[in-house]
Amino acid sequence: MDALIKERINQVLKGDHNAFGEIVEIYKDKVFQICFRMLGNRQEAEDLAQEAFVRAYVNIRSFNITMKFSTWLYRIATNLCIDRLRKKKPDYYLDAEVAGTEGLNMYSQIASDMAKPEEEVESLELQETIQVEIMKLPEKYRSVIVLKYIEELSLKEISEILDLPVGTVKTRIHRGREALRKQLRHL
Amino acid sequence: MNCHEEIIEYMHDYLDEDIKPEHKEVLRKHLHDCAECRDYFHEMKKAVALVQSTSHIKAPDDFTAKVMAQLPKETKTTGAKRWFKSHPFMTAAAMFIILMTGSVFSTYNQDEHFSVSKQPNLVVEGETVIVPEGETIKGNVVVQNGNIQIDGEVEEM
Repeated sequence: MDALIKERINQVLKGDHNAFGEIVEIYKDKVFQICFRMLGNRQEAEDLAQEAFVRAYVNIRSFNITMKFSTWLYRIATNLCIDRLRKKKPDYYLDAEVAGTEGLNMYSQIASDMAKPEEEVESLELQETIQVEIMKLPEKYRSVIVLKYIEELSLKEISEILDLPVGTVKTRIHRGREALRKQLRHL
Repeated sequence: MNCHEEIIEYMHDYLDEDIKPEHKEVLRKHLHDCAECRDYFHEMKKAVALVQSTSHIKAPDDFTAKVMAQLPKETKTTGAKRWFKSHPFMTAAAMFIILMTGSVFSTYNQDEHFSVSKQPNLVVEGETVIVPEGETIKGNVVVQNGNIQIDGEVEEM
């Protein structure tokens, strides 16, 4: 995988557009997911995820080839999300939390292995509830929780993505987990 | 819960898969004895499992196309290079046509060149073919783009 990515990056460095398309294909779901979990809004997540890839392309020369490409890419994406969250007006969140229709659209895309429709609806509602609870987390806890539990990254990778010491990442995961425990215990 | 702060810390370490064996033992014993902490630990693991269950969202189908449309344009030479690489057959066909055209032209040009059928005894001086006096040439003598001077004899085969 890493070898393939490196080869594609070298092609991009030589000016080959299409090689970048393959990179986008490989990482699009992960990057989109980070943005969606961070922002809680599908359209905004799509815009920012696209923006993250465009930035990666434009700045590809500053990518250190000995580094893990995903770390670099996720860093661009999380930084964009964090910037966006900081610029937003607080009342926006209320909109995002209530907008259940957004979720419907969203989860209809999840490959479903569930047979019964009622089970599916139930699971849909649960998924929406969980997303709402994730959105309630302060941004600094939300980012670590998303990277740790949704993207399943190691503490070291998270610390590299967020440019924070591992100890800080750990503390934030603990706080985030505490908050989620309180929020989700009655489900 | 305050008296169990240390235990909660161990729970986190456990969930981070970063717990010392002796702490793990303390945690295990405590959870066995303390229902309150058992519930707490259960709630925390449940929260994690619920969050994990929301993963696997897919990007929209046209995502890559939209990204590609936003990229700055690439240089023309790379585009051409890639075209040759990705269309080897067309490249081969183009080469074939070029070479064929070349060879047609060169054969066409040959018509204007001086040539003479190969027979012994013929003498060639510049662009003039001479059948020397006293010699008999067998068969037709063909001269292209040149002159012939027959001093001897040409015998039909």
